[in-house]
Amino acid sequence: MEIRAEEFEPRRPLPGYLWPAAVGIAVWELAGRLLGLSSVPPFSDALKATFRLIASSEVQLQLAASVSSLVAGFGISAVFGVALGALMGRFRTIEALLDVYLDVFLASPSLIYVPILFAFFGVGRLTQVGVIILYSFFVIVAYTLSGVRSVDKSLVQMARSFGADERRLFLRVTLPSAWPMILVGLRVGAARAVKGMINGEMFIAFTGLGALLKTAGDRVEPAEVWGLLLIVLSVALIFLGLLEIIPQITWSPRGRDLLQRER
Amino acid sequence: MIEIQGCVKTYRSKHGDGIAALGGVDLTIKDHEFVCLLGPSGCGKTTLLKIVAGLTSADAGQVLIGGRPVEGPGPDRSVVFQNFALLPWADVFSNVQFGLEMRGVHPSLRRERALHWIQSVGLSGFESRFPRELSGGMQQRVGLARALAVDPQILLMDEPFTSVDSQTRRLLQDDLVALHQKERKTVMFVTHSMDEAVRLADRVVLLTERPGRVLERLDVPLPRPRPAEIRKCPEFSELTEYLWSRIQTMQPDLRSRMSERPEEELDK
Amino acid sequence: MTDRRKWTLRLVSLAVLAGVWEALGRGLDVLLLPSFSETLLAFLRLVADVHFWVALWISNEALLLGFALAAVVGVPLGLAVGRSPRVERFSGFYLDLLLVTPISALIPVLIPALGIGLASRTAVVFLFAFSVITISAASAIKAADLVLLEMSRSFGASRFQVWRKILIPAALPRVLTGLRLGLGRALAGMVVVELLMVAAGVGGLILRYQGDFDAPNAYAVVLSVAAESVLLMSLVRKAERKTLVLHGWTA
Repeated sequence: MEIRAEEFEPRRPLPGYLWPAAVGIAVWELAGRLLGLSSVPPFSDALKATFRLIASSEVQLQLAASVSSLVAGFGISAVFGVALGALMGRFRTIEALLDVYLDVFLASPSLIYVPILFAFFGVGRLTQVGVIILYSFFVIVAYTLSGVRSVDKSLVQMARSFGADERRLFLRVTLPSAWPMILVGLRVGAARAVKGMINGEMFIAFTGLGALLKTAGDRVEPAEVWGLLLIVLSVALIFLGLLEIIPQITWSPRGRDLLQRER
Repeated sequence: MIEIQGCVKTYRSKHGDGIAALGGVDLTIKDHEFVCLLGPSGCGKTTLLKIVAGLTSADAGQVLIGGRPVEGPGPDRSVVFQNFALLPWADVFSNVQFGLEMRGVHPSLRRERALHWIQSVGLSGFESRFPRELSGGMQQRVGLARALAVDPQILLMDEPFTSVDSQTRRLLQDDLVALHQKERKTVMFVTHSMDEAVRLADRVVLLTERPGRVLERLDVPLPRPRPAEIRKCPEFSELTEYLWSRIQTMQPDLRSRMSERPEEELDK
Repeated sequence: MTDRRKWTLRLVSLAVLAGVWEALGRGLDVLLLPSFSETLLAFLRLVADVHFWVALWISNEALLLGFALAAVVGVPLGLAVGRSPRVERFSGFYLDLLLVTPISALIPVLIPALGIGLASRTAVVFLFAFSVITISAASAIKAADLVLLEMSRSFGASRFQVWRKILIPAALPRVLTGLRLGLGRALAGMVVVELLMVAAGVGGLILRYQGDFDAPNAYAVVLSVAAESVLLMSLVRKAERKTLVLHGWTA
């Protein structure tokens, strides 16, 4: 039973992709106008709906609710996920005790557990954040575990040969070595967190963008649905884009200094 | 002085069965002596080195350094690794001062020592380069500088020149001999090259494998200082031939593993 | 650490979980937390019930069709896209977008278009699995060693031969990985569509039991889906490894 952390992380989505996006928008506009399907309005209508929605205080409220849950949920997953992954990577006993659960949660669809969460915690913020954690926590653990495990053993021995204690070993060898893998895990976890946010909200159908999507779908208002979709996509892209900036910060010379500075 | 007394080490595999790495090794290395452990590639010699380094412990027997038993890594010893073990995300300067940092040496003193040793191994000007920008030979010089920067009494070298090409290897050997002449550290050097052992050592210890045991201790009476031309002396090839014949008396399949042989023919 | 010790620890961990679950389930007199034994009993009764298997089949029908479609469309498409850097840069945008978008957000669009039958559920499963399969295949075709390509050309290999003898074998590992990841996503799709869109199959069962406040049965169905997922994924891993060995990729 091996935990293998593999996923394709979204490649750098923003720069250099303006051309395909422009073409897609053009096609969407034309198709919408020419085909006249009520369920696929032209891009301009969708965009108009988006602006209308953003202007509405109701939507702003739900957007804020969604984003705050997302940030909270992902934040918790990130901190505790990396911590647990590192612990499991360092201590084989802890890994052996917990890897069954990790495997189960990685292999099974996360939404299946949401009815249980919902039954327990009802319709509140706690459930919402819980779903996001459920979606993102385990991949972060898996990637961190993998990263910590794959640290070059000769580097560990080298550091030990110079008398490095556990703390120094972790900060100066294990963590920098595992960091690229951990970052991938965080990116994949972020994408999953967004999905958890939407899926959870659509299931519970009470607050957030997901709830709005569900009602718009039920009321069969295509322009509104597409408008909301654009908002969801924007949230996803912005959130993931922000996470791309983190490596810039940590690997710049100053960032590296932060990792390296010893009293 | 390093005293290895009756060291035994067995490794356990995943399934629980054992691989006997060392089956009782007795060896004494005097201060300032350069000793080469020679034998086929495998776990025995490296295991012994790691035990002396304090990175692993023997299942039976002990190692005494200066009369005191080894209980872990210490400031009196430092290790040079086969695949260099440089931090890939740190530059040459950071790598060289790494050992000093781990030992808690003050930053300004670290800087001074690191720069001194970078210069001694001939890497002045490369302080800001990263390992990936350096050749294998240069990377190992960084490893050597790092090991010497902590000013150990004993240098433990685990096939340090195996991962470089033969030309670079020669140059590194010559540099190491010169360094030893100057610094007079006690050196325990693991290799599977007879040529290398004779070039470098005061004494060559032949080990068998699985379980590792001392087959023979051979003095290398070649004079010091020992410049590169020593390779041309008849005594040099006599010694290497002798070692080769002794190694061949071990298991027959070892013969095919001594692939160094044809290359050494060409070196003459 | 030996395998035996590992498994002992795992069993201990599971036993502790079962114990704590049982204690909490009995101690906390909450409707919504059945004890471990209650859940286990419900699970066993479920497995003996034909209706459960019917529901499971309904769900898996969509899974099979959607995944098969995603594989049949995605792998060749990915291989073709991967060969041309220009096409790849263009389609990469959409594939990445699809990879990252919560497909469930598309559900309100799909219902009016495809109705609430097998077609829409299949479509959702397809959308879940498609992007990762295609992206993997595109990356796979680039995996061939350039030196091997040069070598084959120096022996005068035809286009077809290059594909068959070098590109496809080299692509195999990543394509298989993509299919495995795709299956994981397909399972998610199967569940998502049933819990959010069309209350059929096992998802429908969960919703029904939830509505009836029948916790033991709801938990039992959740467990069965988890069990199916774990089983399927581990089978697929084994199949993946065997296929790679068969084609000379690992020992």
